[in-house]
Formats: sequence, C-alpha cells, structure tokens
Amino acid sequence: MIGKRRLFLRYLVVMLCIAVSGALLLYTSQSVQREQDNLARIEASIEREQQMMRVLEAEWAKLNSPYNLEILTQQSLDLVPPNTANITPDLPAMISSQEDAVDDRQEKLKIDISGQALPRKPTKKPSEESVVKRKSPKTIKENKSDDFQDVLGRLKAKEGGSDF
Amino acid sequence: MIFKSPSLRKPIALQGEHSSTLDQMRGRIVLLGAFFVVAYAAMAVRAFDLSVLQMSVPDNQQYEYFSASNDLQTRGAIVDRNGVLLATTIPVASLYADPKLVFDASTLAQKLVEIFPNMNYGSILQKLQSESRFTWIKRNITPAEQARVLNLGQPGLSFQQETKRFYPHENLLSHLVGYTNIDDRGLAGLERSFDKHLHSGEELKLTLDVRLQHVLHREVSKAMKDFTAKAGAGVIMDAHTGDVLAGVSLPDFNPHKAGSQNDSQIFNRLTLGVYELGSMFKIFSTAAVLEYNKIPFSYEFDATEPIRVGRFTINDFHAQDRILTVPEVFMYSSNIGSAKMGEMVGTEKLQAFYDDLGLLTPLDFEIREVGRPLKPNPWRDVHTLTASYGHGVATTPLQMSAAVAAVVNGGLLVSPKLVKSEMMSKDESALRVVSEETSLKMRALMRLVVSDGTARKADVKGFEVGGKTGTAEKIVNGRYDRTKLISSFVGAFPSSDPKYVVMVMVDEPKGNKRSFGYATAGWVAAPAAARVVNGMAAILGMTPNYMSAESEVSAPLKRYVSVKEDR
Repeated sequence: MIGKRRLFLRYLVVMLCIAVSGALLLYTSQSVQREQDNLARIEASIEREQQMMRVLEAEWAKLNSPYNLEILTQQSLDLVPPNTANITPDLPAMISSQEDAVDDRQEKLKIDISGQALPRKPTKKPSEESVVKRKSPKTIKENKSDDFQDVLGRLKAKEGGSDF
Repeated sequence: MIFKSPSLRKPIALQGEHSSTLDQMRGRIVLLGAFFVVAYAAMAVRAFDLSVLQMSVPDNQQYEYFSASNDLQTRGAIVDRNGVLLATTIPVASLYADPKLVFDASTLAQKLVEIFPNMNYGSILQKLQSESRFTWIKRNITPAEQARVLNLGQPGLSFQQETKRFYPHENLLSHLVGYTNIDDRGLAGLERSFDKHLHSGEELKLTLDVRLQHVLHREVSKAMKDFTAKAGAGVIMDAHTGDVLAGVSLPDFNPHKAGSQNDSQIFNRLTLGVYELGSMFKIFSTAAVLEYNKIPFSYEFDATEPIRVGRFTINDFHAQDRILTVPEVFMYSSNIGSAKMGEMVGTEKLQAFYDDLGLLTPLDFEIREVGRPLKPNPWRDVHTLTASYGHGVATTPLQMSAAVAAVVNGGLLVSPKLVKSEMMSKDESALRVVSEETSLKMRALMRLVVSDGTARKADVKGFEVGGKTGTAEKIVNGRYDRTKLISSFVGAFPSSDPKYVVMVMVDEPKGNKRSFGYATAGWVAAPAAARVVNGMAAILGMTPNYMSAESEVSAPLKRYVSVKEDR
C-alpha cells in the first residue's frame, strides 16, 4: 500500500535526523571540551608569565633602589648629589616678585662651576642689617597696627607668581 | 516486494499488500543494524582523522618550573606614590628529597654542596641517608639554583612551590611597610593593618616617595652617626594634605629577617615612641597667645628673673636676663617668656588648643603601632606654665609634625595619611585651629628662628626654611638628666606658603669636636634638616627663590628684635 511506503520513508527520515543530530552533538561537545582544555592551558601559561613578571619587577625594583643607585653612582660616575646652589631659580618669577637692587640679585645668582655653594658671605649678621637697631628694648613704643596686614596683602597678590 | 526465501514455505513480503507485522519488524531491525554500522564507521573515520591526520602535541605541556596556579590569590603588592614597588610576593621553590629514591647519597651530597656553598656536607649527607620519605634540603632557593639542581637529574629530589614576600628596599621602609610571617599574613605595619585588602590580591598605593625616604634615612643616619646617638626619627609631610612623604625610625631592621631583630630595631620611634619634645611646643603656646589674646609683636615679657612656683623654678637656657618682645621670646627660646604666654592663655584654653591640634590623644593612623601621648593629670595651673615650653607633655614625632603643619598651612587641621586615597581635594569641613593671620605670624616667627635664631644651620638659601629647635632633657629615674638629650628640629618651607613640613629628632646625641661638644638641636638636628631640604629640592625639582632681606616674610619682625651687646 502507498501508506506503508510513506511510513517507511518517514521512519527512515526520522532515524537519519536522529543520527545527524547525534553526530552534531558529539562534535560540538568535543569541540567545547577541546577549547576548554586550551583555555585552561592558556590561563596556566598566563599565570606563569605573570609570576615571571613579578620576579623580574622585584629584581628591577631592587637594582633601581635609591640606595643601590647611590652606591653605583659613587663608584662609576663623576657626579655628586646636587646642591641647591646648582639649581637655577625661576628668574622671571623671582624678578617680578621682588623689588631688589640688581647688583644684590646678581651676586646671589652666581654659581660656582665645581658645584660647591658659594661660601657664606659674613655680611649677613643681623647686627649689621639696617633693620635691627641697637637701642634699648624699653624705648620700643607699642605699635598698634601690625605691619602684617601689608605683608599679608603683598603675599596674597604674589600668589600667582609663586613657583612651588 | 516479494522475496523468495529457500528455507521458508512462504515468501517474505516487506511491503505491499502481503507484508505482515513480522515482516515489518524484520525490516526495521535491518535498518537499525545499518544505522549502527554507519555510526561505528563514522567513529572509525574520526579516530583515524584525529590520530593520524591532526597530530598536534600542545607545546606548553613541557615540564615547567612553576606549576599551574592554585586557586589562592597572590598577595597584593605595595607601591609608593609614584608606583615604585615596595613589597611584592614572588614564587620560590623549596628543595626536598625522598631518601628512599636516592642511590648514591655521598656523590649527591657533594654535588649539592657545590650548588649551595653555605650548606654543610655532613648535614646534607645525614638527611639523604635518613629513613624518612620526606626531608627538606633547602627552602626558598633562587631560580638559578633550581635550574642547577634540575640538571643533576636526580629522581630523589623534588621541588615544592612556595611564595615569599620580597622587599626590594629592605631596611628603608621596614617600620611603615612592616613584614609578614611564613604564611604570608601581615605581622606589623601596613602589611598587618591592610592584611585583608592585600590578601585578596588588591594593590596598596602609599603616599610615601621612596626617593625622599632615602634622603631622609640617609641624613638622619648621618646625624646619628656624627653624634653617636642612640636612636633617631624623621618625617616629611605635605603641609596641606597631611600625606606622609617619608617616615623614618632608626635603628631599623631587615624585614626579611624580622624574627631575629632586637626590640630597639623593631620599635617605631616615629609613631609609637612618645617623647617630651621640649621647646618645639613653643610654636603652639605662642600661636595660642597670638590667636586668643591678640597681643601685638611689641608686647613685652619680663624674663629678667626665673619664675618660682612652689618647688619649681623655671629658668632660661639661653638666659637673656632682660625684657623680651614676642619675637625675642620665640627666637631666643625663653622658657620664662613662654610660661608667661601660657599663663595669659589660661589652662582651659591652652589644654583645649593642644588637644585640638591632636597632640594629646593617640593618633588615628593607618598602622596600629601608635603611642599614647602623656599629659599632666590632673592638669593644674602650674602645668600650664611648663606645658607652654614643652615640659610635662609628651607626644609622638608624627603628631608633632601634623600639629606644626596645621599651624603653618593657614590654620587648617591635617591628619597624617600613609595610604593614597581617591578622596583628594580640599576638605571643606576641615577643622580650623588658628586664623590665617596667626598662621602667617607664626611662619614669620619660625623664619626668624632659622635666619637669625637658634636654627641657623637649618637654613637653605632660596627655600625660606622656617622652624623651631627643641633640646629636651630626658627623664631618668624621675629626674631630668642633662647628659641625655632629645634634640629635634621641625621646619616648614617655603615660609611664604609652606608646602612641606620636615622634622628630625635625635635621641641621646653626644657632642663631637666639630660641634665644640654641643649636642643641642641647633648643632644636631637643624643641619640634618637642611641637608634633607637640599635633597628634596633636587629630587622634586623645586627652584630656589632668593629673597632680599626686605621681602622676607619675617622682615617686619626685625624691628622688634634687638641683639644683646656681647653676642
């Protein structure tokens, strides 16, 4: 009968579908497993690399430590630790922030090329400064207005020019 | 379909009108059989495919020194404010042996001694000949040593991977960073207080700058060596934010060998040590009298005679024996003058002021090793006199610096920080301890001390260093001992707008030839601070700003200062 043939065909088709889907399932699950293995291997190797990196970073930090560098520079280089006398000031900011005599300033800016600071000039004793007077303390009159308002005002105006 | 079967009487009909149920079932069985044949054939093909056609050996399956990770997180690293590594965990191998698998113990022991010259041949031989199945040969060996042992090709030797905490800078930061035990748990310092954070693998970023730390360490060590001192401490702090840029306590120790260090090395003198710092407290009593009593600089204090209260006599160290103005009291560090200032402020206000500055209570800090300040209890009026010049109160150097920072930065309280936090920016709710004007006045006074007073050796040209010295006698057996001093200097620069506070403290310095036998702060701590400022300027790239005498912040003060005839 025609019905039986069709039944047979349907049966065949269904079996084929099951077979194909089974094969596909097997293939997919095997691929996934393979990728998972791959992933685990890669992750393990990343971890190993990170550990190696940590060891290298530690070694680098030790070799570059200030203590070590100081020893090396003393042994191998002709450099000495810098002095503030070796640092040039920010001239424009300095000039604009002071009302100083040009000669006075030029003296202070001279830098000895050997890197040593200029010897302290002995003229800076407060007793020789013009502002300190050798009068008896009892004659100092009480000054009601502090000069500080001026200084405060001046410093506030100078705020923009400060280089620190 | 009709089949003729020789054995059957009736032909089999699979389909068509004559097919019966039996015939149908037979058909289905055949079909199923065919299906299985196909399936197995497919697997055979696949097997052939995998094994013959796609021969791939994964190339990272060679024998590795470091085995694959376990599930435990590696302890987080500690870095400084510029990202420099201060503490990290590195994997190390530990060598052990299974004596049963060792055939020629003496030759092997010989070879091992070649690789580990510090080890004893006899003890290795004993271990290799023992009866146990497991014995440590050497723990925490370097990768180079491990490679050499591997090359011996001995089946009896194996490695166990362990982790070790490594401090590249060794002694430099041992007190603040701390150290861990063998199980990688923190025992002291930041390793301990941030143990949980580090254990979960997170990194810790500090406010410290390792370069400044090195400079501070070098200069405090030098001061200690030059004056054969017992101990020392130092700190560099940001005047506005309270960030601790460098913190040193000497003597120090190697954190890799923390277990074998003595108590004096492990003691953190910066945060745990509590000291009577002496005249440096005059910064606070002077600030208090300027703030609360609003006296002008010309106000005079009678320092001609010592003060007598009951059994006590208050004397001046650099006795001036005359009437002193406010700047003179501060510059010549007059105890009598300061005591009278404290008297003007009053017990209640002075005590509250010291408390507000954070000097009298234990500091809330990121490490647990924090000392408890000492104050008079009960605090009577006589104690106000002594506390004004720093006697009877004891605090930690760190709290001292923070209080000075609060006074010089414009008057806002700062709390010292060791860990960089994301919540930066000016805290609007910061407590104000003194007015801007008082802060400026104090900066001028402190600049005067350095330019013309007891701290001249702290001056660094162009950086307007201002500060105060303090030479205090230590109390031994209930009495002040003149031979045991604590010499310290606290300074801020540049005085016009201070950015940094630097403090150096030296415990029990002894005078040397160059200091003419003096061991006071002006000879011991002030020069060390100057060297620190020098180093800082070079590292941080700060440019000098040479001031003329008139534009100095302390210039207006000079008119209130007169010099004694026989200086």
